[in-house]
Amino acid sequence: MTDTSVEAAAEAAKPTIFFDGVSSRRRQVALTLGDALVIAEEGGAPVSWAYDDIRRADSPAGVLRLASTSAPPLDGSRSATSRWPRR
Amino acid sequence: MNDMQWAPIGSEPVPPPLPPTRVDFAGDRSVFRKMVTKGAMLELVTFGFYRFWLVTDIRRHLWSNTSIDGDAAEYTGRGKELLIGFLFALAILVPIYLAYFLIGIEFERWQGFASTPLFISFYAFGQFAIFRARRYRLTRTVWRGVRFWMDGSGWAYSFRAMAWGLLVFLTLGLALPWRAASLERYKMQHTHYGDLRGDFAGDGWEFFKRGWWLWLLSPIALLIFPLAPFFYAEFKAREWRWWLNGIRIGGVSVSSELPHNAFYGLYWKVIGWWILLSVLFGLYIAGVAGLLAAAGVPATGPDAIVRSIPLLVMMVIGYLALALALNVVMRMYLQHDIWVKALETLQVHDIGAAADVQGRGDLASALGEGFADGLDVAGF
Repeated sequence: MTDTSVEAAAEAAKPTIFFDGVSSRRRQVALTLGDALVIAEEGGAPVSWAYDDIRRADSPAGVLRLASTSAPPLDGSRSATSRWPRR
Repeated sequence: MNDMQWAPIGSEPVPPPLPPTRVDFAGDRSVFRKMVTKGAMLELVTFGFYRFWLVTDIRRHLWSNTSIDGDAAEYTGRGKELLIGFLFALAILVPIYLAYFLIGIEFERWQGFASTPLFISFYAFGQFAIFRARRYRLTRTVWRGVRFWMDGSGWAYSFRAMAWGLLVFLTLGLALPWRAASLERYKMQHTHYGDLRGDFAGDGWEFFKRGWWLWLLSPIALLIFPLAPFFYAEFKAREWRWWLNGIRIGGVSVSSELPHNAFYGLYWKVIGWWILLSVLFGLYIAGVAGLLAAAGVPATGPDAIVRSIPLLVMMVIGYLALALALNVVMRMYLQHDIWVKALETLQVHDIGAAADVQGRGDLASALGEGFADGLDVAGF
């Protein structure tokens, strides 16, 4: 049931969604650009992606989707995906 | 009467089930058209080898524009994998083809049907390839960061397909729905999304009820040609709807309202293009022959074979262009448009069951897809 409320918020603000590649859970996160790309979920440990490891992944128009090649190697090179609206 | 309809004080009412989720397709048809047209031209100049990259691009386009519950799928396969799979399959198949050819010639001398076992073994190989190619595609399909994967055995599947195939042959096609249901059950029960296991809820009887009259009327379609595309489109739409309705992944189920006449237009457009392109090809050949004759290169005389080489070359080029143009038409209508039409009427139920799935499974090689290419048995 909590899923639906997150979905509703998602439509309004177009948040960044993060998938960690271990589970299919949708995680609403905030991105910070520092020495690395830091992906922080409220109440969770932040994940950082080195810029060199970030690749563009396929996505529909209007959505930018990125993957990291150094993320937990569940399925080879890519397992984590983050996305945010493209400007 | 008792008072069972009264909820105990303090308990929450049972929440109503969530409405079904739609599957959205956000792809641009003209982008797809340009992609397959450019791909066909590149196939022409690379002797067909570009097809591995084109097929990959087609899947990437279809997958990444298909959103379930707001998140698009992703196809992570690459053209290079398909090429390597194809080369491996070729290394295995070419010696077999040669042996088949030589043994076939030798045996036919004594007995007309001696090469039948070899033909059957190729059919078995084809079924194996279909299963393995599906496994390759699934392990390259990612949704919400978690992959699909498959277990089960390609040869076990092939054996089932053969046994059912024999039954279909003996019953003149009447057993087809039960064959489809059994094979689909095998494929889906060995399909997984993370730690969710797939299943197939469709049964043969249901499929039979939807299409038996088409089976009965099919001899008429053979006699009256223009009816055949209607029959085929009708059959395909019924088959798609039955298949989609049966798909289960864990607690997630799928339902389809695909109209029975959904594909009529698509098949007729393919036939229209086919006629148009054939006429153009005929005009081209006539034009080339006329030009060569006008240029004083008649294809007769003492060195007729040497003189007819220009015509032959032009004919081969024209023929390849025709084949590739037809490929563009089929990819547009029979891949892209069918995909879109099938998704338009699709609903996904209880998607919440896939909200927190743990990733599992290993990647599969593209060898199966290579076999499928080598034997020319195409899966979706």
